[in-house]
Parts: sequence; C-alpha cells; structure tokens
Amino acid sequence: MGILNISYYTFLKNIRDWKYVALLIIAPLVTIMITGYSTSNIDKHTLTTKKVIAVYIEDKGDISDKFNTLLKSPDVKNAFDIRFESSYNDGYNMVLYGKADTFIYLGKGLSKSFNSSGNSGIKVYSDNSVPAAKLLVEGFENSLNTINAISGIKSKPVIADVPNAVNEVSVQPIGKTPSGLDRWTYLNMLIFLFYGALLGSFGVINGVRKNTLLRFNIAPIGRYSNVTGQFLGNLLTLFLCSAVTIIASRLLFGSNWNGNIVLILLSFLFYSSISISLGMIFGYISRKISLCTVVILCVNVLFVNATNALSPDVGFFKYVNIVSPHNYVYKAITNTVFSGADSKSLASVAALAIEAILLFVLTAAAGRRRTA
Amino acid sequence: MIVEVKNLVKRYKDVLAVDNVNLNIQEGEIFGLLGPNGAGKTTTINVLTGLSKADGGEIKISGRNLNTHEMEIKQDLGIVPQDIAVFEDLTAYENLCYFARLYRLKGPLLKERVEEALEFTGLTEKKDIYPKKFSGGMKRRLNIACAIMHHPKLIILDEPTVGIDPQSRNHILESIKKLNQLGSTVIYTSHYMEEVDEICTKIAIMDHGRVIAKGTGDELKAFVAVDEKVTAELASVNYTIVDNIKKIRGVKDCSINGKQLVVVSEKHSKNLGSIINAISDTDTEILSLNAEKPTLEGVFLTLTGRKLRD
Amino acid sequence: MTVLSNNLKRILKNKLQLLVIIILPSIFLTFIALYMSPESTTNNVSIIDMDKTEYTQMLTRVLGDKAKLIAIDKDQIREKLDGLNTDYVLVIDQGFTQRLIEAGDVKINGYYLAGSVKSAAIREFVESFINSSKSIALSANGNSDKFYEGMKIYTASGQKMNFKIITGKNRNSSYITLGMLLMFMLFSSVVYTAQILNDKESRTFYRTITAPVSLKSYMLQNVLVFVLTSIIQVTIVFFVLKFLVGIYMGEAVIKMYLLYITAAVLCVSFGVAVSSVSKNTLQAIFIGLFISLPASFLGGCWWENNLSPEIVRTIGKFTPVYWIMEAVKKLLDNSSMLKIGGDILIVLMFSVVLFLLGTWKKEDITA
Repeated sequence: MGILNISYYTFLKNIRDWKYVALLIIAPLVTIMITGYSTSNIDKHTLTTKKVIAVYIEDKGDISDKFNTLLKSPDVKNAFDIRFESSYNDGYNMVLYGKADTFIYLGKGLSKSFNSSGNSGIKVYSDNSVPAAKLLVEGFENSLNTINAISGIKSKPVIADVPNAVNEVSVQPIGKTPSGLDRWTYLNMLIFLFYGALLGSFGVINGVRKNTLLRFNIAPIGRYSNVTGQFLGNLLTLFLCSAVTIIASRLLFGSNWNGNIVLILLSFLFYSSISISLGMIFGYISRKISLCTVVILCVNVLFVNATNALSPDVGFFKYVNIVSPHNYVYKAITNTVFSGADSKSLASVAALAIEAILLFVLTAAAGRRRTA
Repeated sequence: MIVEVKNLVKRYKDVLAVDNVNLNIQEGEIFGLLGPNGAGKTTTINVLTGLSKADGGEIKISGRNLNTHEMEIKQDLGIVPQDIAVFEDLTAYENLCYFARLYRLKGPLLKERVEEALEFTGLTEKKDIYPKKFSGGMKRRLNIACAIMHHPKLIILDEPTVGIDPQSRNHILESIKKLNQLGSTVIYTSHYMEEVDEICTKIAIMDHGRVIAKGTGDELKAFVAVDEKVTAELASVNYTIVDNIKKIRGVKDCSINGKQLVVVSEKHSKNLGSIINAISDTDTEILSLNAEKPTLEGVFLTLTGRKLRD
Repeated sequence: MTVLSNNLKRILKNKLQLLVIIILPSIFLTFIALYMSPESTTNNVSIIDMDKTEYTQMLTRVLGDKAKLIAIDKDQIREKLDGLNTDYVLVIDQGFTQRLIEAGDVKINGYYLAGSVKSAAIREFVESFINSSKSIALSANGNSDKFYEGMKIYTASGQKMNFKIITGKNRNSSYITLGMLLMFMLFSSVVYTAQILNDKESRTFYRTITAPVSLKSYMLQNVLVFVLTSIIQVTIVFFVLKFLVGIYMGEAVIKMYLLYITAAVLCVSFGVAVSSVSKNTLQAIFIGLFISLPASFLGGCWWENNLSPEIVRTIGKFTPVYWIMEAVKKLLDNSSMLKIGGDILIVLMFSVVLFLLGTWKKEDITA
C-alpha cells in the first residue's frame, strides 16, 4: 500500500466521521457570526469611547480658573468625559476602583504657590503609565511655561490670540482596515483549524491503541509511507475545510477575502500542514489524547492572543510571533487584502512554508519509530 | 431458590432483546445460559446485575426484589464481565484492593481476601505488575479475581473463556467448579456448548430473547429426538457386514463409503457391542471407531433448525 | 469514598498529565497577563517635516517624548490613519519656521481619523505647544536668536506636574486574563471528566456500578475528584498570577479566588454533562471545544459584556460564563461579596442543572 493509498483511506475515514468535519466548518461560522457582530460594536467603542477623567479643583486662583476654562473648552469636552468630584478621596477612589482612567487634582493654594515657586503642583493619578489626560495637563503646563520663557528673554509678553494654531483635518475611513468581522473571521478560522491538529493526534493515538499501527509496521511499505500518508490525508481534510469556510464566510457574512486568492489559499495550506504536523508530533510523543488536547489548546490560545489582530507586536509576543503560524497567516491575509502588499504577504507565506517543512520533517522523524 | 426471574421483558427501541424469560436457579447450582451471539444472554445478565432496567417482569435474588433491595443484592453478587474490566494504570494488587473496597472490605480482612484471590487465580507472583503487561489468559484470571474477593453468594460469569488458550480455559473451568464447591452459586453464560455441558448442573438455552429449553444436560438431550451415529474405519471392505449390521436391533441405516462404515441407530438403542461383534465376525480389522452421542449442539439444531454458531 | 481515593490516586500517579493540566495553564496565562493589552493607550504620531529647522526638530523631540513616532510618507496619510497605524499626522510645510518667527501667524495641518477620540490629547498638546511658540515668537519681535532662546527656556524649565500611578493595575488585562482562565477551565474540565468515558471504554465503569455503588454515588465521587483537581489548578494559577506575576485581582484576592472555586464546580458539572452525552473521548473533546469557545465569546471572556450588542448579551445570559464574568467585573471594581451573591447563585444553579443532566439515571447505563 503506497502513500497515496494511505492518504486516501485517512481522508475517507475523516469524512466518514462527517460530524467532526461539519463541526470544523460550522463551529467557526457560528463564532464568526457572534464575534463579527459583537466586535463591530467594540471597534467603534475603542475609537469613540471617551476616557473618564475625574477632576477635583480645591484651589481658587487664576491657574485653576485657566484649567477650568480648558476643561470646559469644546475640544476637551468632545474628547474626554470630565467628572468633577467633590473631594480628593472621591476622585482618588474613582481611579482606584477602575471607574476613571485618571484623576487630576489641583490642591488648595496651588495658584498662589505657583506664582511664587514656579511649579504647577498639579497632581495626576492614573491606573496606567500613559494616560491621555497626562498629555492634556502637559499641554496646559506648556501654556503656563510660555510666560516664564518670555520673561526669560526679557521681552514684553505678547500672547498670541489666535486660538487655533493647528488646522485639524479629520480623515474619513476608506475601508483599508480589517473590520471586526474580517479580523474575527480570520481569527476564528485560525483557532478552529488549529484544533484540526487533533485529527492528526487521534489518528496516531488510535493507531497505537487499536493496533493498526502495528499492521502498518509489519506491512511491506516504506518507513515513512504510513506517517506521510496519514499526514497528507489529514492535510487534505483540513485544507478543504478551510476552503469551504472561506467561501461560506464570504457568502454568509460578507467577510473580506478580496486579496490574492492564491496567496490566501497557500497560507491556509501551510497552516493546515503545520497544525496537522503538530498534532501528530504531540500524538507520537504523549500517546494520550487528553494531553495532546490540553497542549494544543494552550498553544492555540497563546498564539491567537499574540497575533497582531489582538495585541501589539511588542515584548514576549514579538518573539511568540516569530514562530506563531497564526500571525504569519494573519499578516499574509491582511497584507494582500487590505494593503495590496502581495510581496509582504508572500514573505509571510514563505515563513509558513519553512515552518511547515520543518515540522513535517519532525513528524516523519517522530513517526518512523517502529515500536507499537 | 437464589434467583427467580418471572416474565422478564427488555426492549431496545424496536428490538425485543429479552422476551418473557422465566428462570429459577437453585442454591449451589452451576447454571448455564447457552445461546448464540445476540440471543439475549448478556442483556439478561445486565438486568440481573442492575446495569439495565427491565421493561417488565420481576426479579428476586435471595428472596429479595431487585428493584427495592438493589444495594444489598449487589453485595451478594460477584460479576465477571465478558470484556476485561480492570484499570490498566493500576497494578493487579491495586486493582483487587479497589474492587474489594467497593464491596466494603477493609483492614486485615481486605488484605487476606486479596491474597486469597491472587492465590486462587495463580497471580500471586504477578501482583505488582500492570495488567497491560499481562497475557490474555492472565488478564482473564485477574478479571475473575476481581469478582470473588467478597465471597459472593452468586457469581455471574459472562463468557469468561472467550479467546484464550486451552490451558487457561481449563484453569478457569476448574476454578469455577472450585468456587461452586466453596458454596457459591454460579451463572455461566457461553456459546461453547462443550463447556456448558462439562460444568453446568442446569442449563437454559436462549434464542432470540426467549428461553427455548431448560433442564439438566441429559434431560435436554433426551428431550430431543436425535439419531445415534457410529462411524468405523475398516482395514478392508466386506459387504456382508452391511447386511449383518442392518439386522441388528435399532439400526436404521448402514452404508459403506470407501473404507468408512456409517451406522445410524435409533436413540438409546445400546447396540454398539452388537455392531462391533458383527464387524469382528467377518475378520475385518477396525482401524478406528467413533460413536456420536446427542450433543447440545444437536439439541439447538433440533430446536431452531440452525447451528449454534451460525 | 473508594472511587474518590482511587481516581485521585490515578490522576496523581500520572506525572505528565498532572504537569500539563496544572502547570501549563499557569505558564500560558502568565504570558497573556503580562503581554495582552486589549487596547493600546500609547499614541502613535507621525510628523512629515518638510521645513527641517531647529524649531521643527525641537517639536519632533518633544513629541517623541510624549508619543511613539511613526515615520510615514505624505501620500500615506489617509491609509496609515485608516489602518490605525498612526493616530495623528502633523504636516509642517517648508518655510513654516521662518513665517512663525517673522509674523507669528502660521497654521499647521494636523490629520486624524474622523470620529476617533484617541488622538484628542495629543492634539491638545500640539496645539498648546504651537500656540506658545507663537506667543514667544511675537514677544521676540521677529528676532530669531531671542525666539530660540525663549523656546529653550520654554522646553527646559517645564512645569512639572506630580504624576503618580496609583494602582499599578491594568484592569482590562486582568479581566482578559481571568476570562482566558475561565475558558481554559471550562475546556480542560472536559479533558479530565473524559476519564469517565475512559473507564466506560475499559469497562471498569460497569464493573464498579455492579458493585454496591449507586450511579449517583459514583458520579458524585468522580465529580469530587475533578473538583479537587480543578481547585488545585485554580489555586496554582492564582498563586502564580497574583504573587509571581502580580496581576490585579480586585482589592481582596480571596473573593476572586472564591468566585473561581465556584467556577471550578461549574466547569466540572459542564464536563460531566458533556461526557455523559458523548459516546467516546473524541466526541467529548470535540463537543467540549465547540461549546466552550462560543460560550466564552457570548459570555464575555474576550471582552466585557457591556461592549457586546444587546442580542449577543441576551443570548450570553443563558450561559453560566456570562454570570461568572459579570462577577469578575464587579470584583475588579471592588464590589462586595454580597453584590456578586446573585451571580454566584445563578452559576451554582447552572452547575446543579448540568450535574443532573450528566448523572440522570438513564434507563440503561449500558446503552
């Protein structure tokens, strides 16, 4: 029995278990529906939700008045949700209990001491290191500095009365960004196709359990025929699932696949190959389906969270993304679909190809052991 | 009466697996439940052991109703399931301890009984080995050991000799007889009629969910009309033998096929001596002789028109 | 309690399984807790400087301190803003500095994505910087040296506010991490409750049931083993996350811990229910995967429920995940145990229903 025969029977076995194959297609479609629908809301939320800033102005003086005027200016009011608190503790607790992003406090006698010490003494409390309100206060302090600077060059202060030095131009979106639906279409496909790795694990483990592996070992076939045949059969199954999901997501939800379809399909082909290889390797090593499943689940969730779709490419995630097939596929798709950058997309596909080949070699090495 | 089953009915959707079965098993018997695969033996056992709920009928074990006294009854039962049911990730000894505890054995008594069961099944030296390293016969023996530690009043063995070598099989059959001598009543299901014939004191034959015959082995064989057949291999052929033999009382037919002589007699003719004499009288040497008695196989064939292992 | 002690022994005996079920989640959740940031708070700013003077370099330097500078070309403005690569683009025309110093009356173009408030603070900052520059230029009366001297004083002597990070927590990151933990627990419970299926496959389940052990007692003891395993898992994960990684879990970590113990009970019930409707391990794992993931989306493991559309939220309420994540949210905002009492009650009710579903005495145990 040759490689093609083995892959044919593996494929046949897979699609005979049509319920599992159907799940591999239907489950991502269901989650695409949920997440696509939900995230359209969330994307809008991230861009348009005003940060809550708690403010308590205890001071009564010119600086507080100026700051108050700034807070009430239309620009600031449009961009921030300013909450005036009635005590220091109230404001502080707003941040402490996660109800506000930042608390700005202008203490008693601040204007007075500013005029004498030259230090604004505005206190800013936040729950993170880069709150937007910090910039707001820094901008305000800059305007206070102006007076110092002018007196420093011993000139008669002339304050520019043109309020808008910056001509703000708002740019309308042109649809070059993956929408929530698009992002989650790709992510859900990545998640579920990675679980397809279990097809590989089950094949290997059942082979050991039901002694069919033994049959292959004693049959007059090449050392690598069995492992290669199984690999190809599973790859075919998974790749077909991904193709069907692409078409269905497009038809049902209008997910965006308007890129170079060859690159997209290639990236999914290599991705399927990587996940099948991983599944088979874990299967050969652990020989326990429960262990394979937990490992695949962990790796999957970590890789999904590390993709550029959900996290910035920094810190540990940057290193995860060097090996993560998830991110390469994501980059390959978004580059060709949204930026039209097929060459960048091709680079990601190449990385996937290298990874797929390496893992296949490992799979073959793991599967060549003849012990049943 | 240790087991009384009245009008037991069990259905799986449209299939009537057990159809109005009545069984009465006396204390101290080895009761054989014989029938082809799918006859309803295992289903009957499952209902008896509480694994399946009956759709109709009444079951009493030791005079107690199974529905109302399930836990007490289970304490008196020892079950050897058809499939080997032991934990592969626990050693033989640990397996036995676990099952013994389930039957509320503990302390020194538990230890004693576990050792006893190991001894009984000849596994004492293998007690610290994981069952996955056992041979098929050893697994079967461990499977039995797990069921006998609490000295059950009723031991149910569901095809305990499937797929093992003759030696292990004999060991198991001997063990069953020994257990019976020690005071346990045994229910033994099998589709090997020779085994049932060998060890059972009472037999019920099941087919298509019904008990089609019951009694002792001899009673069953007597119950059906089956001719007796004698086959002899002769050194030379002498056709006068045929004529002589045909004159013997009870002989229905006699024929020669090559050097083989076949004599068919009525049941209980007791004419084997006369047949041998008739052959000897012609100075013909008998190379071999085979007298076939009615078997349970024959009984089944008569009752159903099918062979037991069809 | 024989079944309990036996199964516990079997789980503890398998070192590899123990490692994977208990240690692995801690490791991967640590990474997620450390690096997952559901929304970036840093501003990305691009400056297209066609003037290239000392002043524009000064502006670039100051902005570089406040935001991440992203280099783009002039014809990429729209694309980069739309692709969320940058939040704000400043275009400085040639001769800008010259005109500023001479007349003080200049305008600079700043681009941002319509509808986005993310760039508001940086816009305010740039505006105040250039307004100040204009005032200094006017005061310097067209004298370039004086202007730069003034700008130097302006940028060097700055008013320094008193900035403090008071919680050091990243609430959103905590929320997501706890959500991932719940999703993981939900799924891994299926993996180890599949032990029941293994026992069915090895027939030891039937053997145990034929002993004087009722199905309810068998299931209950098994559930206790799984709950115990799950509690060990939660305890280790909490220990790592709280004391080694130091993520924020509300004011009193014990409340969150208790909530997750409740979640452990729920997850085990879920696992038992899945195992009882599945015929074999493969089926159980697939069903587990394909229920736990959508449930985690609907219930708010990946983002807070109030961000979901009404309909998704309504459907989510029919999953226990929703109520656990609601309680997580409340605890992160330091609500009292009393306030999450309702949520916990609902979760426990779900657990009971799922447990009954899993142990419902079927007509036939053998079927």
